[in-house]
Amino acid sequence: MNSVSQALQLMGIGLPVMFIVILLFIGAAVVLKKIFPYDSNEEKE
Amino acid sequence: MEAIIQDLTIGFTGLTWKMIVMWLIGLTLMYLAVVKDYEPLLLMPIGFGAILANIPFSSAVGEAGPLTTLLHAGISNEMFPVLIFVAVGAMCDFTPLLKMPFMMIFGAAAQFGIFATIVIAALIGFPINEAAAIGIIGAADGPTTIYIANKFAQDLLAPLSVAAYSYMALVPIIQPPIIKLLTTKKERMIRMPYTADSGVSKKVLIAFPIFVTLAAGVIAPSSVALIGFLMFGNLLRVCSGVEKLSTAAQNELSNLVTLLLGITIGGTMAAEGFLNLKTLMIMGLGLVAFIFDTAGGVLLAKFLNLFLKEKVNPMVGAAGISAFPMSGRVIAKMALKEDKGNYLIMQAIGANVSGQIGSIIAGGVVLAVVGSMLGIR
Repeated sequence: MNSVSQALQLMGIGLPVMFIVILLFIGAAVVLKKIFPYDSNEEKE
Repeated sequence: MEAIIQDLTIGFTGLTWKMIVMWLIGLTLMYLAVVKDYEPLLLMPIGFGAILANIPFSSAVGEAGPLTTLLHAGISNEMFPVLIFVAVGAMCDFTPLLKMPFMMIFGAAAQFGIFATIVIAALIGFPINEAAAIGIIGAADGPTTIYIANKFAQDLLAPLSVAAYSYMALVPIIQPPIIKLLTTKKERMIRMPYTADSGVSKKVLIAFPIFVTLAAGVIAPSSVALIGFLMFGNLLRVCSGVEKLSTAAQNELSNLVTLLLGITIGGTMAAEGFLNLKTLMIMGLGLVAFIFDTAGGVLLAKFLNLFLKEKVNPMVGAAGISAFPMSGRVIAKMALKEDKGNYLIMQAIGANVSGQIGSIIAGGVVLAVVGSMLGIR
């Protein structure tokens, strides 16, 4: 396999994987915020 | 007598025009750092290191030279970039990002330049290991560039690092014209409401970096050294009782490692390896990577606006590049220039912090995929 097809393969795998991982992080952030809601008293503690 | 004279004049007789050019490059980097304030903490030591490496028969480099020793002790084993990640993690505040998790998508989109540049570099004729190392300049993140360069193309460490740090410093010059080219004035004036009262619980601030480490680590184990140390630094920042460690990471550790990293990279800029067509091509491709990164973020925001009720200012997408916090500030400044009442700083910084995470994820993905292609683990 030449380097161009390797680079295209990397792009084909890399970009979707990266977006999936980031979407997973977005989901995790949303869920964590639901599990641990912000309490304004926290700052006073 | 003749031998003594020869020894005393060795510095003059060994001098080549290429070395003098490298002195000028070193002095230019120092000028940009000190006078123009472009990434001074890095470009200053890199510039001086370049001068040290290009003095004929310099004892600073060579087998027993201190810069070579530092190269083996801190860069060949990836120790310096990893320690810098601890410092960067301790400096990053994930609060704006966690207030608007949606912004993280731009941290992924603005890594498009990495992959596009890898393809372009391969088309030009670079083998995949070098193309991958060149593309990673688009991570807009010095330690990631150094880490990947060290894995895949150690010979190109100097030009890759110089390109990465130079373009990071030039973000205020590179990004605005690309953004203006891709957006209308109306789009640049879009306001995005920011609810300052919706805080983020400390538990979330602690749990998030732990989750990111575990998830990224399981998906791409080769990224653990990158993401793990960044998140460790961030945990130092948010956990109670370790304030001293956080302060040390943000100050002493960061300053010391930056100094050693900079001068060591400068020390690798020997004229024979640096003054060639490849370096020029790397500098050009680095710029291409930054341009595609910016375009990737802006275009994704524009695409999302086709479906969103509350529109996103497409300029915020460009802040997904990881040059933190410069890119966020550039976008906020541009927004204010277009509309004096449009304050986008928190949204832009949120996207910019996510760029830090996105760049490391992209680095991890490149490490995993190219490592697998080359049989490097």
